[in-house]
Amino acid sequence: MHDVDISDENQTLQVPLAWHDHVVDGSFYQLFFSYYFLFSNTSLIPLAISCLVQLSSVRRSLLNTNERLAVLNHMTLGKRKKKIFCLFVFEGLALKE
Amino acid sequence: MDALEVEHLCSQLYGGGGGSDQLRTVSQRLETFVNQPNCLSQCRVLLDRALTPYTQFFGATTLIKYFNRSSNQPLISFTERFELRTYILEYLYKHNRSLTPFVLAELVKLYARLTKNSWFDLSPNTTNLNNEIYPFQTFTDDLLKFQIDPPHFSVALQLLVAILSEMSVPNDEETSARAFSKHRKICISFRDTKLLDIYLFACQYLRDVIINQKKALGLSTEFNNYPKTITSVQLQADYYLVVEKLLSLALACLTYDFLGK
Repeated sequence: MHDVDISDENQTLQVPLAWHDHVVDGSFYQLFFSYYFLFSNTSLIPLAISCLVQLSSVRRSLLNTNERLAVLNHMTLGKRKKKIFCLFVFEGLALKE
Repeated sequence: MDALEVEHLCSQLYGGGGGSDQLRTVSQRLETFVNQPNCLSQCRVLLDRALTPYTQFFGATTLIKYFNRSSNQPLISFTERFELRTYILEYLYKHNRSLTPFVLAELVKLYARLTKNSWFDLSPNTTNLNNEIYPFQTFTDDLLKFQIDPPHFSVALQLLVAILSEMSVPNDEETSARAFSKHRKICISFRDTKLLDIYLFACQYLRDVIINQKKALGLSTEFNNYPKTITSVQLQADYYLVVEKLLSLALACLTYDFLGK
């Protein structure tokens, strides 16, 4: 029936196709990361991290293979700071709980 | 019961003092106010006079109740609803600094509720069905004039966040299957016509904030260049509030119920 495998799509962000260009656009990730760097120790941080966590859980079928990699690179700030990203995700998931 | 009497009862109910029996009768009398035929106009009198925050609050909650009743829906004409919406917007614009947070919250909720309930209402002037105009869907244009200063802008953002949550979550009146399917239809229509624009709008402003702060700190405004160190910028209080609301708005867009579940 389906062209793409959607078996793991229940827990993901079901953004419509119209959002595609903005999801692959790296500047949105950079924007929310900038808040992390500039407004440390304020109540803005949990909001910015939550936005990143939401963006990181977009449905798989929205992106093709190359775009998935590109988005992952945006999320990890290139290759430099994977640790920070992991930290973000854990902090973010803790916030969501 | 007219507005003056309501004001008197409100001062008894919220003013403290009085036995519990007396308070009970007062609150029972106030509850009947929503059933009066002139409720709409009297609530506006209450809001206009703005004697105490409690009377404003009572006026706003009564209006929410009034518009919520499904039995009332067909009775309230399009013009009445549209007028009330314009009125609330003007009211928020005029009073925004002086409103107590709980009054503001109720008025914002009322605005969001009205927008949702009337989402698919056509303007009575529509004659040509190919050129449909839904006046209640133009709320984004109405909010443009709120961009004059941080306190006004903050109210506009609060309106947007309230509208998003109203569209995304069925309210306590929408429990029947019919009401729920209406909710779903509106939820999806909102997603397809407005949501992305609101998200991009919030992000645009958020970007300007970052660029300004980086300039002030003497950093490169390139978004690829993250600062080497983590800084904690202190913003002016009302400006900070706006930034916080902008981020909440972006998050509200990203947590929207995209499937209308």
